Amino acid sequence: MRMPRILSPVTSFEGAVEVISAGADEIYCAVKVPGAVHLLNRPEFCCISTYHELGRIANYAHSKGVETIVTLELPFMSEFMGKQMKEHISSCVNEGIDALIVGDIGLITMIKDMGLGIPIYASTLLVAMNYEAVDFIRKLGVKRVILERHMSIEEIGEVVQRNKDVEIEVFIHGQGCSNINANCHLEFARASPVAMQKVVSGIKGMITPCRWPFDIYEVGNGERRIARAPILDAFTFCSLCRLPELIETGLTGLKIVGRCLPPTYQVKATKMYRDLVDLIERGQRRGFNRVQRKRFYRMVESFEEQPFQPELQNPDGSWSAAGSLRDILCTEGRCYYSPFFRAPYKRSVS
Amino acid sequence: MKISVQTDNLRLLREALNSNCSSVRFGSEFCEHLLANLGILERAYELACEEEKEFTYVTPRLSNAGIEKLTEQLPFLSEKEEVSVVVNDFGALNILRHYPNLHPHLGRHLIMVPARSPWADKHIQGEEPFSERGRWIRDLYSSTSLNYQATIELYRSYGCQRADVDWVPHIFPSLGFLMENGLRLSVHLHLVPVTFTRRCHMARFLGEKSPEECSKPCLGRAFLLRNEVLKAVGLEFFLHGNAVFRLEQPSPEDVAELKRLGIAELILTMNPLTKIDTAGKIDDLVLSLGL
Repeated sequence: MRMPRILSPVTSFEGAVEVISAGADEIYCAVKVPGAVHLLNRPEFCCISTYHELGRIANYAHSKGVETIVTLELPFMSEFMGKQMKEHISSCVNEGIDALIVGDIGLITMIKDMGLGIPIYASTLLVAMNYEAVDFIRKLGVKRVILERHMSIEEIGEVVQRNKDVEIEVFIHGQGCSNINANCHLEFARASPVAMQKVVSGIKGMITPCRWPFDIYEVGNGERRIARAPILDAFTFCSLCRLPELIETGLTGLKIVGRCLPPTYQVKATKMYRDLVDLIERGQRRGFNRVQRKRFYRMVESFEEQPFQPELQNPDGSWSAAGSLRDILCTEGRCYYSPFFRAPYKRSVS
Repeated sequence: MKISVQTDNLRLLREALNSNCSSVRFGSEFCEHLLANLGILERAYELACEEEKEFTYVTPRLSNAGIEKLTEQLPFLSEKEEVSVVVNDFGALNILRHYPNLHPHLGRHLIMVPARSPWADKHIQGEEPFSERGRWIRDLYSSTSLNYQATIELYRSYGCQRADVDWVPHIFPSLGFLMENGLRLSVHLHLVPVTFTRRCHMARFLGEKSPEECSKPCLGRAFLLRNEVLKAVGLEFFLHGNAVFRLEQPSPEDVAELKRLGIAELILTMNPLTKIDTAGKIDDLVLSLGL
């Protein structure tokens, strides 16, 4: 069986050098769209700031046999953005990148009409959650489809088996999402800093609105509060323990999330998955016997004990570790493949 | 302008059929586990025919299992005349090609509307209105992903001539472009989706064991969500099953504006959030909106 490629996030040239050295097969990044305000996907600080830096990254990556993929921020197309996006796309392609990740069917059509000959990968924002959706997207001329989060390994396997003529990639690690990414409008919260601080105080890890606690009232039951809980929190991060099964599905790419996280995370996560994929590959060649399987789980456990992401961003903008991987992910069951109705917040309901 | 009533169960469908609405929509927009089995779908269709109301089947985002279920149902619907199917998933749109008798109708999940964001007003107000950045943000929040000709053409090549949009007054001025490009539009009243999940928030909170065994508490319950951040911006969220909404109250003036624009249909949803659960309430609401 062919091993899947590891696709890692980068946000700077220096970061790209380290991530490639840690074992990424491909790197992905975004570039700030001139004149646009990044309100629909990731904010500007998660982007490379100039096309020149993108060119440096692509050149360096090519010298190491690694592909550079650009994700188009603003997974949305409207007539008023046409000229702006065409210029942005041309500028990225001119820097020698290898593919574009695109999250809107209008944008896919635009790129094809531009005749640039650049491969198009379908973003998770196109919400491919079943084999027919993958087929629909493939017919748009897409080479690779990144599946929606929250699919079971069985569902991923069926999609791979029924869509042999398109590459299938999944998210494996990073800032999870509680909701269907493309239909989620919770991000970019705008309120007073005092109110924000009250709500996020004490939360470990990435503080997105789906992790906020809410006072919960039953509709039609007056003003009686039934609980205060982060009821929207289905946040998930990790695929470490399920990696062998995931690879057995035959998918072609494993994508690590984290364009908005610090380079230390991008490097650590890449190295961790590189080591495990390599171990599985070696095991496969010789038959993944009991001894190697034990070694695999020992490696997973040693990773779990490390101080690791998610980290807390301090008021001064610096980052500090929020706990071990085991504390944050395993104990609370924040695994991509945990039972669907597991509520990681249950212990904190008041 | 046609009035249509949307519901996901037979009890409420019977109420809708007793009202003065002109058509009914049956199915689930958000949860594939609420999709009826074939027998119930057949019964729903029969009831609509008995009352001589137009029937539309509503489908949500789908997993592989949901696609299988839809594949079992579409042959039945395709034998009928003039049935539309609201599609909220590219997979559903893909299989509808095999049923030329059925009319695909674009659902809200396939149309991105940035102004669904609860923070849209704050972002617009936070900018200098005549600056380039301020104008760009206003343009963004007044657009939909259908405000691009190539996107409309692609959907039309799949037979889509109708589309659902939200009651978000920011986007009303841009709806003319959609209609000029051949789309007939339906506007959902009241519930603007803010987000939704496969890992149902309500079911998890209430301790349901699995999607397959879910007792479907959403058929009778909904939650109001508040916290300090929402209070600071004057918002409340509503959780119904796996979806979070904000409520928008339609005014008769806005309804008149939509009528003038040429909107084809207004949709009322019957569920615990809208508290519309009887034929009488449907008729009262329609009257209060001047329709």
